[in-house]
Amino acid sequence: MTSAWRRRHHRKGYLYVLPALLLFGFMVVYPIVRSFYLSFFDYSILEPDSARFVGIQNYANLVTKTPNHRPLWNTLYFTLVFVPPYVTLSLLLAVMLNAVRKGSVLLRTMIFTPIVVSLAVSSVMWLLFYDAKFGMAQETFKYVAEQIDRVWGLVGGGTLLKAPEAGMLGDPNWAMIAVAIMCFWNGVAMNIILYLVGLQRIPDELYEAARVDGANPWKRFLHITLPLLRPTIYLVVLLSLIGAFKIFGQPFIMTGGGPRDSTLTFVMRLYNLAFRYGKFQLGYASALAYSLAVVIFVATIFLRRLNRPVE
Amino acid sequence: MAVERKTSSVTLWLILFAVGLTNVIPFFWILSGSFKPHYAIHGGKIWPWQSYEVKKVDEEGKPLPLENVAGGPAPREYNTLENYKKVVGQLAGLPTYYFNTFYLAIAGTFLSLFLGSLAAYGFAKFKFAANRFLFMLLILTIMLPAEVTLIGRYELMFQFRLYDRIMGLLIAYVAGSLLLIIFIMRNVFATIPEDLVDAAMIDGASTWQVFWELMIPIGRNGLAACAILTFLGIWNEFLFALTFTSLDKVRTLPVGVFMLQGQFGLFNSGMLFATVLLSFLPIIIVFVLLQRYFVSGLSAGALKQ
Repeated sequence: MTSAWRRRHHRKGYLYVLPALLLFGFMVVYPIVRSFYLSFFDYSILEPDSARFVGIQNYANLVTKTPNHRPLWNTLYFTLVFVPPYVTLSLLLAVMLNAVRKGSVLLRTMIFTPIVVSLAVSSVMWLLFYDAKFGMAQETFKYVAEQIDRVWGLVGGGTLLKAPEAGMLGDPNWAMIAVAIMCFWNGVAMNIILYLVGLQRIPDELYEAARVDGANPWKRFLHITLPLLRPTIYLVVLLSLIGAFKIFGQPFIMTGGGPRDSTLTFVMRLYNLAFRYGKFQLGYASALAYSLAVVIFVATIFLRRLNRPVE
Repeated sequence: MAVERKTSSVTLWLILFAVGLTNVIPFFWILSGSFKPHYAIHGGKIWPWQSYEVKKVDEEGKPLPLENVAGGPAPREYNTLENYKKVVGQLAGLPTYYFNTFYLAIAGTFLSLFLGSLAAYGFAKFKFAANRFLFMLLILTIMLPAEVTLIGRYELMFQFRLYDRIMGLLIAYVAGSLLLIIFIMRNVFATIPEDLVDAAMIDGASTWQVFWELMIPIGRNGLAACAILTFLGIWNEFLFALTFTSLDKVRTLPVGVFMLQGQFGLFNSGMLFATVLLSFLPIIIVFVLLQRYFVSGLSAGALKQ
């Protein structure tokens, strides 16, 4: 085959990548660039002509304007209460599921089912489940709290735990935790599946050898499973963290940010600024979106460093 | 030793069964509640074995004063189909939401798979001048969350008259799904040996035939994984569907259910229970039937990431 033919052949590659790239450029690259540009303007879609260049003012507002602080803390709080149990309990469940030989299809179906229910439907479902008057979660909470208090009372203690009168979602101290529990229920299957894939790549011989050497299950987990699962753990932690930073739909549907702004998250603030407060502050909202991108970028770099194998 | 292992695996199974049970209880609770009238739910009678006093209710579902009920002890009931009758009769929205969501998820998945694997083939098997550059451009965007495209896309929706159009959401979803598919499928296609491609070309196959008759069949596992991930992604999507639509006829199921909850959550919980049930039941049935393929597909996708 001649080189001219070769060149002509390889040039056909453009034809194949072009349709996707055109669409990608139109609906992804352009909006990304446009948002970046707008993030330096005081710009509202209501008065596009009065856009005013403000430099990094929108970004500075993130630190200086108090209405932005609560959403930042709330999102951080959500990340702290959600991510640690999310990545560890799902690992525990995955290791257990991996060890079960018989009847695992039934178990997997039961444990994985919530993943197919969209986050919006799950949120409405759990809104009912948490209801202060008839919700099952509320009743369970009350029952557990009573039992704990009864036992605690036997040794002369007072009230330890009390189910909030207004339901978990109606109580500023509990609302975010309630949202986190729902997110856990809805998403835990994804982590378990990722872990299972990693676990199945660990050769059985290693466990056999360790067993012959007399290592107990805990030692086997510590010295074989954990080190060999490291890339998967890294992936799960990263995806969970990013998901937590971006949390929006679940609290938006279940509480709308309340009570008393206790579940107002960062992306919800962005959404409110752009579409809810009636001012369509698209420049300001764009700056918030890019701040989120920076946080995610930094977290990724940081985790990647942690994941670097120890020499 | 063998006995010990057996008892421990039974314990393990029981623990996991308990976890699974608590996991599915909310579904059964919703199912039970959907057969109860509003006042029974608020009276805490939700499980099928709990009976409630039948009350006459007005149009909005509020119990009428007692004098309207004929004498004698009030009849008791366990379950009623009333909610479903009302939901089917009054809420014409639900089928529309379903149709929109399925249409978007299915058409979106096919379109993204087609365009994405075309591009993946181009990137994997052709050495054109801008190959490296264009691919790097794609990689640059992978770290950015979808939220940074929100504002720009919102403007585009108005500029191109795509606001309140299913077409607008479709374009946004397809564009948003392409990246992952191009990544996964480029890796899959790259593992297909050059010799195989060359042999086909020498036999006179066109590049299109190589793509359609060689690449696609060999890459079908990767494609299946991409299909599941894309479908779930679109099925779940809330932020864009909420932002780019305002009319009832273009709403997706997530946004529709959210709106319905706001409409009658307070006055008729029974109907809300029934609506929620109808919005998760079909997909759960599909999932339970296809569970095996679903998990292996997702796992294959996870392997590639």
